[in-house]
Formats: sequence, C-alpha cells, structure tokens
Amino acid sequence: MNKRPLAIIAIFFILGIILARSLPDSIRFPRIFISTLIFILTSFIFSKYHKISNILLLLSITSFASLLYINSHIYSNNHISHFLAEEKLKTSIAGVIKSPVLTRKPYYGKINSTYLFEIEGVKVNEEWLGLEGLAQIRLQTEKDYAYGDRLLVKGTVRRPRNDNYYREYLERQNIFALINTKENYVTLLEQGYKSNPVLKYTYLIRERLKARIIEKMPLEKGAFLRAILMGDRSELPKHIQTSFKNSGTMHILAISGLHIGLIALLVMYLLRFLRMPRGLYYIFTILFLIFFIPFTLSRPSVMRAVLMACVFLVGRLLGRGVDVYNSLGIAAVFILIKNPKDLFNVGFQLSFLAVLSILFFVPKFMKLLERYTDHYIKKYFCMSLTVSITAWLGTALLILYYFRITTPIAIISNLFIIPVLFILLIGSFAFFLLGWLPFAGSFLIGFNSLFAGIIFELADFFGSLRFGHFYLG
Amino acid sequence: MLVFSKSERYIILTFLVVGLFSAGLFYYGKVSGFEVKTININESDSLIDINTASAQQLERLPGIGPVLAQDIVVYRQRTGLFKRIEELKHIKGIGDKKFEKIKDLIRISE
Repeated sequence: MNKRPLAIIAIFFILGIILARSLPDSIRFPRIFISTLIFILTSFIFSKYHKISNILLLLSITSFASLLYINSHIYSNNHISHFLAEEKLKTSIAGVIKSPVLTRKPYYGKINSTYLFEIEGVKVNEEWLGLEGLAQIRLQTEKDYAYGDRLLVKGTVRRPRNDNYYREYLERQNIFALINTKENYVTLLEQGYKSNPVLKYTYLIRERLKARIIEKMPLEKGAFLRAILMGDRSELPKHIQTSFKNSGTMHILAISGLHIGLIALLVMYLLRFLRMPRGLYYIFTILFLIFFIPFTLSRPSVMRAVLMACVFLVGRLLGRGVDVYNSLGIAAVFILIKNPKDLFNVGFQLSFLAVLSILFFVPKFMKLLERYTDHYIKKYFCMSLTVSITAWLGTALLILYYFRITTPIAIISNLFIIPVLFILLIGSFAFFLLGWLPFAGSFLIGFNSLFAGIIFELADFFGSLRFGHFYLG
Repeated sequence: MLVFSKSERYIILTFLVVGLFSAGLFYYGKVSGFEVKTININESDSLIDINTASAQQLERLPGIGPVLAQDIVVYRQRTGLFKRIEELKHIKGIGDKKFEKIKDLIRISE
C-alpha cells in the first residue's frame, strides 16, 4: 500500500496543470474530456492488472488536472472579458461588492478604496447588458461599503494594463476589469444582496477588529498588526516593507504556518481550560481555523496552513498518525481544484516550496547535528537554524527569479525576528480577547507596540547590513 | 512508491468520475448560452429626486455644496415643486456648466 497516496496525486495533478499550459490552443475541452474518460474507464477495465491500472490512474489524474485548467480559461458568452478593449469605457455599471475593503489609500487629498466587485450588467448604447465577471472597483470615497452592497455606478471600466504582468496576476484571481468612479456617481441599490451569511458575518468581525486596531494602536504598528493578523498590508508604509524585504523576513507579513499553529494552540488551550470534552474542542478548533480562511481573504498561504493543520487535528482526533507530505498534498490539490491558475501564483509557490524544503531537509540536518542537541536550548537553537537555512534554500532561487533579490542575511535575521514575532502574536490575540478591559487594554497596547517596535528595529538593522542582500539587474 | 492498492484506485477513480462530470456540466453551462441577455436595472433609483431630496442628499451632486443645497431646498419651499429639471438654473450659483454636470444624476418624481 502506498504510504503517501495524496502526495503522489498532488504531484501528478500539478504535472497536469503544467502540461495544459503548454498545450496548443487547438487542444480543447471536449478532447481532454474524452481522453480523461478513456483513461478512467481503461483503469477500471484493467483493474486486475495492477501496474497498467496504476499507470492509467496516474494518467487520469494528470488529464483531469489539465481539463480543470483549460476549463478555468473558458468563460461564458456574457463574461465581461469579451466586452472590454484596451481603451476605457465610460458607462454605467451595476454589480455587487464581494469583499471587505482591500486597500484604502490617500490620493491627492481624497481616499481611494478598492473592493472586489461582481458585475451584473453594463450599459451599452442605452441598453443594459446582463454580464458577469469579477472586477476590482476603486471608489474615491470617504464612505465605507460592505460585502453584499449592490451598487449602480457611473465611471470608467477597462481591462487591466499588462505592465509587469499585472493583467496576468489579476486574471489568475479571475479579475478581468478595473472600474474607477467617484462617490457622487455611486448609488447603493440594496444591502445584503445575494450574500452568504457566513461570509457576511466573518467580514463584519474582520472590519470591527480592524477598526479596534486602528483606534487603539499607533499608526505604523497598527498597520503591522493588521498585516500579520488579517493579511492586510495595504497600509503598511513602504519603508517598513522594504526593511522586511531587504532583511529576508517579508514572509512574516504573509499569514502561514506559524500564525495558524499558534492560533490552533491558543484556541485549544482556551477550550481545554473551559473544560470542554476532547472531541468537541478539536472540532471547535478545526471550525475556528476554517473561519480564519475567509477572515484573511482566502490567501493561498493561509489555506495551505489551515488545511494542513485541520488534517493534523483530524488525525489526532481519530487517533491516527498523519504523514506531513500527505497533508501538504491534500492542501495543494484542494487549492488547485478550486483555482488551477493558483499554481502560477508566486504566493502559492513560495508557501509550498518553503514548507516542502523544511519538511525534507530539517530532519536530515538535525540528524547531522545530533551530537550538538543534548540540551534543550542547544536543540532549540539548532532547530531554528536549520529551519531558517532550509526555508531560505528552498525559496532563494524563486525569490531571485521573481523579485531580483537575494537575501543571505535571512538565515540570521529570522533567528531573531521569529521568536519576537511569536511573542507579538500572543500579545495580539490577547488584545483581541481582553483589549476591551480598561487596564488590560492599555497594558496590551503598550506590550504590542513595544514588540512591534523591536521587530521594526531588527528588520531595519538586518536590512541595512552590507552584503546582507543583493539586487540583480 | 507509485503503486496504489485496489481500494485506493477505486476511491480515486470514483472521485475522478464525479469531478469529470461536474466539470463537463460547468463547461456546458458556460458555452450553451448563445445570446447575451438584456436586464432591467431601475436607474431612477440612483437618481436624486430634486423635489423630495434633503439638503444633505443634494450635497451628493457634484458642485453642490451645503449652501447651494440649502438654496435649492429654500427655492422649492418658496416657489413650489420643480416641474422640469431645467428650473434649477433659476437658482443663483447653478449655471449652464454646473447644470450639465448634474443633469444626468437628477430626476423629478411623477
């Protein structure tokens, strides 16, 4: 029996998507559908012949993944992508807001807010055409809109420009249009239109917690907290982002394993403290982690970490060991079934490569360092160092390719910054739970500000070291 | 390493069959619509009724500040409801240029 069936499935699934990308345009959905069906049927027919049946099964998986990828590039006749040219179209557009505010930035004395916007219709030649598709809408407005707000706007709509692969980046997220408008030209037609109640309340909680951070925390440190807790780095000042980039610690701004692991531990301990039965607190922790996915706007690194954590917790609940490669495989397949284009998303690639590198190399390095790990402090130090080295090794080439930078200093800077981040995360969750209490609130604000400040200083220090980072080209 | 047991193969193939036919249905749904349909959007909901709007609502119009919005309300109270949107030009501060900016954003209730 295969020890890692899900890891194998994930590998062939990924191969299928890569293959589909290189296929010529003449290969269409019906042909791939038929070939997938043939592979599946022949695998069933030859089930007595294990080797042949296994080969056909792997071909079925590859072919199915190709099919999903091709399908993700097919759009209905009334999709917005068929109606837009490179030039701006000045018209009326109706649609529904499908996200909380993504970015809010000052722009020549006004505020520009962006949201995801599902198009319902566009006015063309005095007629409303029923179209569909996702757009990014930028509103010059002080007013806040919410998920489920149905709007009628007068503004410009166009295809995203293709500078620096921006159009490709948006299309991977199924965003095909950019809409710009001003507050005066926006009418709220309805609230809560075709909205999912779970998402609605999740976004409401997100906005409330965001408002609490904005209200209580100093500007830059509050922006940092919003980045590490909610995945919102839109208001984090550029110079701080540059420090993290140059010190090789940009990854801490992406919510992933460290954050999810800590949340899971905190929730479980809290529920155990409340004397909840074992089975129930595992289930509640899993549900809480799943809630965290839309809370952080479903980024691939969050989905990967949450799925892996859930598989681990389910395994523990059922009293079974869980292979980490299988759980990584499930996470990859789940994300890619949902959106095959995510495979070419740099966040997805970095997230999975880093984890894969850590999982594969850390045990090997730790075995080499066995004689130095007799004491728990030495063991902790060796473990931290090997994780830092392996994560850097696993992602260095990709970061060099995409961002034209290499940061050897990352191996050292992470050793200092990650432990401080861990303390800050505990303080931040405590702030969410207890921040409303008068004394505890002030203490936690001071505590979090202090540790956020330490992280900024460390990132700045390591980022400014000579030979710490190199830009290419 | 690449070997699956019979039961694993059957489970995976079952998922693949379900997935395949779901993908087929989605594809059919996307390509089967031949015409782009027109829809009904009630644009009058978006227009500001200058006979019923408050000063605050009127301020949403471009170029209409608090003073001018109040002037519109006062004019309406003195001379009665507007019968045509062009009557706004009778108000000091609303000339041809400003009227051109706001005329597509206003209406008169019947």
